[in-house]
Amino acid sequence: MPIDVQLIMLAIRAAIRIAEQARHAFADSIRSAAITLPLPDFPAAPDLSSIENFYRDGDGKEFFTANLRVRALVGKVAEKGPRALTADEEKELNALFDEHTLLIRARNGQVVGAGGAEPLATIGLTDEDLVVLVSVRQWRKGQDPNPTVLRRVAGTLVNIAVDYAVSMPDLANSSSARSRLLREFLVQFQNVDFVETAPTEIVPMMATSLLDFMSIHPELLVKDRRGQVLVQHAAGAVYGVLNASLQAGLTLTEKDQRTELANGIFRALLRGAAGAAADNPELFLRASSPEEQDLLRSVAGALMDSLGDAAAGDPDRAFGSEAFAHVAEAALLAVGRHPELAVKGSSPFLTGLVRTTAVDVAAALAENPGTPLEASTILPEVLRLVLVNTAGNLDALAPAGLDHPEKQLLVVATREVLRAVAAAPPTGAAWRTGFSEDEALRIIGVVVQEAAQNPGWVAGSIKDPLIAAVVRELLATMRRLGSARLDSATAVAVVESVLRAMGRQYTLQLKSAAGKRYATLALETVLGALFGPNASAQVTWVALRGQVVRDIVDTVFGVLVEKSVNDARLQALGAVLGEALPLLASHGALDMVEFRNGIAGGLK
Amino acid sequence: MSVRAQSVRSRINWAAWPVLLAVALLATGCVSHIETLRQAEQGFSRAAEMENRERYGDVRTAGAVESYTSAYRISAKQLEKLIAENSKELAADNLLCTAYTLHALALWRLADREGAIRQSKAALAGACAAPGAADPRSETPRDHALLVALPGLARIDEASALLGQGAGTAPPEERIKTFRRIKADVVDAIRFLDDAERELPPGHPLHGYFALSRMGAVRVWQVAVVNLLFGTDLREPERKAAQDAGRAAWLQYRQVIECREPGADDPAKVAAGVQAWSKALGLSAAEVTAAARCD
Repeated sequence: MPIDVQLIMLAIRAAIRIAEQARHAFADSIRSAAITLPLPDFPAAPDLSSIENFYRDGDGKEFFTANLRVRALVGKVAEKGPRALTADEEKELNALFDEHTLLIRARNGQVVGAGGAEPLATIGLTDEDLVVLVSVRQWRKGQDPNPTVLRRVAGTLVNIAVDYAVSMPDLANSSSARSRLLREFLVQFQNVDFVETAPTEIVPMMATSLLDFMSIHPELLVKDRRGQVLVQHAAGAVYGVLNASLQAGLTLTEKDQRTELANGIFRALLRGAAGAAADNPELFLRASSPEEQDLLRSVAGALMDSLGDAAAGDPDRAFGSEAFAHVAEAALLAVGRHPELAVKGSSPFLTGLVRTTAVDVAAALAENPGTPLEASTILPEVLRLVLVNTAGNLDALAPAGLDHPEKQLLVVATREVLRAVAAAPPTGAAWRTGFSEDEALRIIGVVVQEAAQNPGWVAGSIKDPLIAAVVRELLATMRRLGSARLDSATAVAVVESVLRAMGRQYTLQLKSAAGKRYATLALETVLGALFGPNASAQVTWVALRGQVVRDIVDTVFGVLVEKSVNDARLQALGAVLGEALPLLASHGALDMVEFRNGIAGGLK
Repeated sequence: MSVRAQSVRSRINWAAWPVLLAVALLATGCVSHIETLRQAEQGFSRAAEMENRERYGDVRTAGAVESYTSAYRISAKQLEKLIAENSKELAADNLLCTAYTLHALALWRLADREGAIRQSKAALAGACAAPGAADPRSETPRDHALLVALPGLARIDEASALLGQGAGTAPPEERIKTFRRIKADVVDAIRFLDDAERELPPGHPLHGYFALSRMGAVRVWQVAVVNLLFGTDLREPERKAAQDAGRAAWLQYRQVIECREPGADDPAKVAAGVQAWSKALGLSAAEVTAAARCD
């Protein structure tokens, strides 16, 4: 097996070189790392010596001259020692010192704390002294002979590469596509001026993610130069976003969580971008496109800012890596089609859109504590649906403009529909079955697609769009009139059928003189004929097969689409169904062609 | 990492196992001394952070003294063994000076001042060359300067410990004698710190630590004047001398922290530090408002 021998020899040579380099890099990192230095013992807080110096030689001279009490107390210390002062005298002197110090500071225009003087006993070293000044690197910034982050993390990177080199032997070949891809990734960090607080640990994490990606999906990204550029841009974008998000004041745990999240976003971007690039090559991987990094940064920033809390630092754990990649892909597609979503370096609209959707989904589900729907399952797909469908209809779906993502109509509609789907059945409802996550998502999918195709569904009301009101009414009708044995999949199909019919026939959304919507009335008529008290046992028996209900609803609403709806036709529908259903059911099964002809004929 | 490693290994052809073994041996077998040093370095830093917070922070924590003392002890043991058994490997990786420095510092914090000074002298005589004497890549300017300063740092501790003796009701002669010992320690400490600073390049972050230590030394001197020299003719001239030393130390401190890299510090925090120290040293606010010259 000559290939194995060749591989083994190559790996051994590489390992020797790599291990040596790793050792040097590791040693360099230990030598240059900052260490915290202990301070020698000394009295840090102001005391009687501070007070005496202040009054005799410092700014307190005027008080020493004018204030007899100060002079007496300081003189007593000088003559008889600090122990000569009683506890009350010492307290009095401290208070005078605090007061006079503050007065001097105020006179000099210096900032005086809102709480007045700092209590003398509690003043120690400031945080600046305790944290910054005692943490000392080997070399001054910029003077380190091995200053780059790549060198600092080189040991780890090389160890990772060694680990992977066994499963991807072409990594050792500098001209292989994988090797070039890895190189492009590292180049991104070559010239970054890393300050002490820079998140260097992200680089090995991202390198691991990249190598993992290459080993699992060798066909994606590795193929050509465009993949290398995308990796480079994605790495740079994620690093930039992480660096910007590590503002002062975060705890170590929060920093770790953000770093983990950034790596999750990098993985999602790789998978999402590779998927998006395969489907829409015209939108991605233009090697010369200067906007690509902005696009990636925008998406990474939106995910980081809006999902940070929900993901608690680990998007994989919260959503599953597949789902997170789908969100990233949807966001990339949205921004790819509408570059105005990505403002240079960040995207307030996109961030706001993702955040609002996440918050709304969580809120809608929280209102219904008994619902089996999980935000972690629902949210990624809802985000994907909203993002993908937003891209084609930005003007119509965001009438309030890019400054108001919270008023994006799909987000509002989704929230209201989810609220209705997650709601528990009302007391006394005939049909009480709940929806599974897949079913809930199917309803939301239909709603979002319908609304995206016809923004009129959502344009009328920002608080409660028409499509949400319709879904609510349809569900309420089924709860009231459906059979206990109606299955939830059939209910979803009914909603889908009615919504699609309404999208094509305007009169179905109009209301009758009694104030009820014609579509709802039509569904009531159908359900009444199938499950109502006047329905024959034969009809109900046949209708318990879910497919029969679906076919009947499809047929009825198909006919109604062709004919405009009014009170007379609805009345006729009830009569036709009352006659046709028992007749057809008597055959043991419904002949849908005959049924359709009967309905169409009856509604002339 | 373990999940990833498992998934990688599951894809490895059996023929590649010898390679993996070789890689593992080469990659990990010869760095154990570096790893031990890393652990000792981190343990030392954690102990120092704990001790600084306990001594000079606003909050005291039960058991903190025992914790940081124990961490120093573990670190010192690790380093002692490492230097004894791996000095050749450490020297080859330019890490011997760092190991000596950490060991000397740990001994100092464990109150073994003589042991610490002995270790620092040994290191300066061998592993820790002065900057400029060798290949820049093998230099360790921070470690070298710390070793030079270490006898001074130990003297500040010693002077602090002496503050507790001879105060109060002791006769003036005895108090003056104690004061002189304290002052000698303080003056020596400042001299060692000055020597160490001269070894450092301008702008090195260790200047800040030395500035803090120098002000700490002066504070010991100031307190010694008040506690020990009351009712004597020495008191006023010594108070003024300590005050002058305090002003000089404070100006150095201000120079360091106001002239660090732009953007490195929050200006409000820098100002708070300068102000807190001027209060502790009893200095004039006029000196606080005059800006430091950073050219």
